[in-house]
Amino acid sequence: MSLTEHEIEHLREHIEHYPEKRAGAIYCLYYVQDKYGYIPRASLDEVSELTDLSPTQLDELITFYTLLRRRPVGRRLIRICDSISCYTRGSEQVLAAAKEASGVEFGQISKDGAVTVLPSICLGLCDRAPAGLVDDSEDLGELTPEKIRDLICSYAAETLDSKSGGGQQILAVLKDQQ
Amino acid sequence: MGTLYIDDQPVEFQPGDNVLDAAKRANIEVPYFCYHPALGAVGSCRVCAMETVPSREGEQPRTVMTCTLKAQDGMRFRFAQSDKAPGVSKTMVEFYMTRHPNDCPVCDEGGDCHLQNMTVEVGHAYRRFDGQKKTYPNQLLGPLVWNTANRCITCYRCVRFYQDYALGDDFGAMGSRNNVLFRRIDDGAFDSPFAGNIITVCPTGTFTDKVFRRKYSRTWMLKKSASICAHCSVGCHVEPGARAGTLRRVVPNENSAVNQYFICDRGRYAPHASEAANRPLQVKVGGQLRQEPALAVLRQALAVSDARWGVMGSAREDVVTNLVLQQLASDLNAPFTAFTDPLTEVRTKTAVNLSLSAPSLQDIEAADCILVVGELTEHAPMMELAVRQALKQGKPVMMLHAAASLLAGMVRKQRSLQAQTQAPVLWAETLQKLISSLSQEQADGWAALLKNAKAPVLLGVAEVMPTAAIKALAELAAVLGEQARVGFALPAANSFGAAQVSQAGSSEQLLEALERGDINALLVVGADPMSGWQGERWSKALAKIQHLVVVDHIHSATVQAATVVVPSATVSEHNGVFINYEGRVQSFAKAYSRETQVLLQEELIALLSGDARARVQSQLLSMLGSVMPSPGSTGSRIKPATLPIGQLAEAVLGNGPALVLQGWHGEEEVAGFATELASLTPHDSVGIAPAYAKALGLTLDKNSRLTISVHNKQLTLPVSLSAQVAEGCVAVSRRAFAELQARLGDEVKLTAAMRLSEEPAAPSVVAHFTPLQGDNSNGGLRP
Repeated sequence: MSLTEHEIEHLREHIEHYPEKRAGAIYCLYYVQDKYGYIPRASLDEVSELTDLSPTQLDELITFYTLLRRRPVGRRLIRICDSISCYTRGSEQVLAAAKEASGVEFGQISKDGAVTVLPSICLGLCDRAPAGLVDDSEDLGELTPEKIRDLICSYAAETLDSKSGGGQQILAVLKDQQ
Repeated sequence: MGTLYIDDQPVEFQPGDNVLDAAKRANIEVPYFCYHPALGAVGSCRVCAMETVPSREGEQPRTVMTCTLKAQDGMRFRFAQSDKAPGVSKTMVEFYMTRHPNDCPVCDEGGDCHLQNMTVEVGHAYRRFDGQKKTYPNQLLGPLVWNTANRCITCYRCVRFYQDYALGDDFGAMGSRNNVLFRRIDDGAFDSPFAGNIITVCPTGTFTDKVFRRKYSRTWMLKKSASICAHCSVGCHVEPGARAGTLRRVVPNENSAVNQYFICDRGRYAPHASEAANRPLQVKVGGQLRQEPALAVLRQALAVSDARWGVMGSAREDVVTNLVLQQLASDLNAPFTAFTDPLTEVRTKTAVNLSLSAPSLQDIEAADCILVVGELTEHAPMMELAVRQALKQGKPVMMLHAAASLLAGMVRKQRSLQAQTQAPVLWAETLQKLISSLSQEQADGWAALLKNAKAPVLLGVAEVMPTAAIKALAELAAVLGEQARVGFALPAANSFGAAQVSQAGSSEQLLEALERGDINALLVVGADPMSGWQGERWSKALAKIQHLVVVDHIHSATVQAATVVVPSATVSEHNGVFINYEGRVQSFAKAYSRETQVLLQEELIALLSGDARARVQSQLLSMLGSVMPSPGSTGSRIKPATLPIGQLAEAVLGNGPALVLQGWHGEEEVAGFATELASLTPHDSVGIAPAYAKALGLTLDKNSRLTISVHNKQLTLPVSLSAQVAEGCVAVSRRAFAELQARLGDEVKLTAAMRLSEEPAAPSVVAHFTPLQGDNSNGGLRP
């Protein structure tokens, strides 16, 4: 599992735009995350080589920013806000329903590899509370336990190739876990 | 200088002080956590609060954090008299204590804990918060530091020391908000030679001394003394703590102008060699244990009728011991030396002669341009920490080296650092070129940087520098003018002092006398000639003699070969005087006595005749001046007369690869016997630059091995490809040098050997998960 020469060249080019190499670290980490669905340990060494930040310093960044992750997630990553507006509008019930529907604890991959549910800090969607975010791009509003259950069921029904990339890889990771 | 007022009490302050500094100096007990004098203020703990007193009409009193406020003349504050400030401090401490475990009775820090002191000081006694405490996983951090993550109050002192002060990068702050942990990405020992200091800066028991933990004592029950570190030539002030006749821990002694607040890991953990299982603790004659007092046995041994004696002192024993031995030698009409290796003797003395204006650690920190010759980190870590302080401020640091060094490894991150690799035989030439380009109108590169500097500092490592290079470095300093200072890291704690008491060429003379058979008995105190650079010659010569009397506190090769072994005291176990690399005379005091009787070095004087004793006294006076520094004081510097130095041929430029020393920062003669520190010794390998390997026609990768052949000896080691090794050089450890019976600069033959078996396939990525997750919106640690 490593970056190709072509990818490294691309990252190097991008980093050159900054006055300091380390300024390109976030871009590199996102790039790796987009490729694998998460940031594996071995990739940190590669990014470290490119940015002159040590793996520990990169991990400091990753643990600071919620949207970077060091653990694989399901094909769909569902974040559900648990901050104050959403909390008052019932996000606790939504989260509980999501956990039940996924069949695993928060942060873990459901048995079929379809989803990972994560509680999240405020997503800035307070007007549509309780709110959520799928794959860090699609927003969800006015969630109810029923809605979230239906959503997770629909993701489970997706065929593996309906979403490019990830699917096969995540099943492979799950196989390793077993 | 100026005066400010706290609760109407006038408080004097020094330039650069903040209000907290001034208050602390006036013994006003202001609570604080995140502030540390060496690390500065960040104002994050919000504990050192005081209230301002309005000076103008209409102004309101404000609550301020005193660590972030520069002291100014006439400032007025309320602290104890304030209605608000003590409440702020108390509330903040209460917040910190909501999550802190109440485990003081079983905590290593208990009784010596900043958090405990501050909690008591502000009067927080009862926990009102009845929520759940958060718990965190501890991380295994190698054999030296123990982590108890739950005790952390996130003051960030550890990371500020580790990353910001010591420029390390393998330990950091993970997470955010109220979910922060301080750890490395992978379990295991720290890379930095200064990691032990996070124990000292941590105000709680989050980081504690793992070695101390195994033989723990409450710190108020420790016997302590003001001592000097004996493990390199810097002479840092340390405070050993002992109980029941055994050494338990060593911490930096803060009241000093030498090392200020910190010591390196070698200084902190090498003294534990005194507790090594194989330490000689009983007198042994001909392999038999004896019950008689050490001194009587020694006297008996020296009185053997047929013996023609030689006497060897040591650069790691103190000045008085060496002087006494020198006089003992003259009583016995015997040759004396304090060095085991002629080449080291010549290099040390050359360096000592040129060290009269050597920079102190503070001078190095304040330098605006530094040139380092040799692998400084691996020989004098604290001197290198001072270089890092200049580096951190963006001051240019240039480095000329031949083997891998932690300082050279920082070149990618530190823009003002330039490292150049070169074989040691060429260093003198390079420095000479630098001197000649200084005189040119348009100096460029390193010459320009040195020329434009107002306070340049030149540092060399005497042990690995050819004599010509040592001289050239000093010449460079002379050409740069009075503002330039040159200093050398010497091979041992008292190398400076040992150089003062040995005649020119003394070690070569003693060695030759042994080889000729002129002497048939040798008294060795605190030295291990048989495993030094001339180990082979000494072993052969000593095998022939009838009497080898060795006084030492480590189970060295020489002790193992001795006919009479007399156990001696370690630095923490006796009184004495060291002279550090700058000629600073510093004395150290005994912290404790061992339960079994060992010979205290100061007792050796009893072996002398009355005349000889008087001569020791007068020599000591003429050497150190009239005042002997008291233990704990920073001592004064001596400027001795130029020492005579004999001539000695050194390695010349050959065609083949030359051997250079690959040191590491925890390495020293005694440190090798400190189990925990020594367990971190890197695996032996042969360091070679990839480009040079290619030029030699060797195709190498990380699984290759090379056979080194020199003087009919062969050694096969795994390859460590490193661009930090100079062209024309291969770098090996001291151990490999000993095994090859080789000397610095020896020309070797390299041949490819059988490869290591390929590593097993990397485990699946799942095994690499760290407990802390990036997606930590749920508090991170527990899903």
